Amino acid sequence: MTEKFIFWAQALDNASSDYFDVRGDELSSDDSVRRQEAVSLVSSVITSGTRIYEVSGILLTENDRHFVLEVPSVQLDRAGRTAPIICYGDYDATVGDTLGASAAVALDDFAKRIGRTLQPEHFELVRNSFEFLKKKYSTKKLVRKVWILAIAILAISYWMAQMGW
Amino acid sequence: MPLPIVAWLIIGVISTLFGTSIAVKWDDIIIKFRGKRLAVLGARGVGKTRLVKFLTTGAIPAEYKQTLAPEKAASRRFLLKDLDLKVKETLDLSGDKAAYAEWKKLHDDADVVFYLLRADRLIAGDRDVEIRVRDDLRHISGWLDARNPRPNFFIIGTHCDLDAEFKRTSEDKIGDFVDKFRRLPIVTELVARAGGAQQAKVVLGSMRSVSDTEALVYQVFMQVAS
Repeated sequence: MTEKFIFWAQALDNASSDYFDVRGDELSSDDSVRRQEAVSLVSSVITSGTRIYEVSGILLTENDRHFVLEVPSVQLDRAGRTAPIICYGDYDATVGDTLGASAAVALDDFAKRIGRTLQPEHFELVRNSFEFLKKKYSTKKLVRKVWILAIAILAISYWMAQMGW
Repeated sequence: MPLPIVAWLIIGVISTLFGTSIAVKWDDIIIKFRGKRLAVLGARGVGKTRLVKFLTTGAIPAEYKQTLAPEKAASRRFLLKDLDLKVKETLDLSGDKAAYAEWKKLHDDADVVFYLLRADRLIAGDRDVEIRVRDDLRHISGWLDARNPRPNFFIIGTHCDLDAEFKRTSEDKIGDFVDKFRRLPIVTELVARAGGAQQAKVVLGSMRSVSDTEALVYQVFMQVAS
């Protein structure tokens, strides 16, 4: 279930290595190359993307068919801070139908494996956040279609003018 | 009568020097006008988020969360005592070693680089903290060496309020405390790695309250301004 996504969480003791699961593969603490690659993927979405959902600590950011979802876990770290879990993934035309549900299930699975729990109401919010992603994708698609149509009309008009019609 | 060649040479040298001076000054003016781009680096739980939030909002967040994904922080202009500061937008980054590539990007774009560490833990001889800061500085020193000109670099020791001796130290003796901290073998090593005492300034303080944070930021920016 986790093979579609990248998961990232910081250890609660703030000293042990962060937890990384890259598309179903748990990264060891000395796998610095793949760890840095995972962080770079997350960073590129955050720095270039748009925050489209922000409710009860759940943050969804998207950029160019990639998303980063941040969900707080119930547990606090040693310094008393909220300890979120990051989920990175790709999306396409099917976004919202199954992606939200599978992300929620995979998040729960990853959280359990690292000894965390997610608040039950957050699962619904996670699913809900992907509806916003779906709307965003639909709007983008519509804008793209309008652009193509406008360019096509311009091209035909130009061609007709050239032909003297 | 045409000017002799010596006079032309003198005019040329003066113009070149004056032109360079104007160019340097103009560069300073532009940087001051546009503000400083900061990079706040450091391991987990050292206070990066607190410092970034303070610099970019003027407040200390009431609730905290671990920083994993980067957080964008807006630019801000503010007065701190006699200092008129303008901080450009920046990023609050994760303190995990997996974020080194992101640290480097932030460092490479910065005018001023802050490396935060737990001063209280180094004073207490925490070996894990020593290993971590040594590792961090090994990376950062390479990035600093590759920059020309080098950015202003500060090692900022935080959480001093958790050190019993610091708490007992009166304001006029803080300088002695800082000197003692600088003499710690690990701190000496870090400063040497970062290019020596001229290149790497050491500042100590606490960010427990807004006034503590203001005092710490003032100490740092006084040195940036000078």
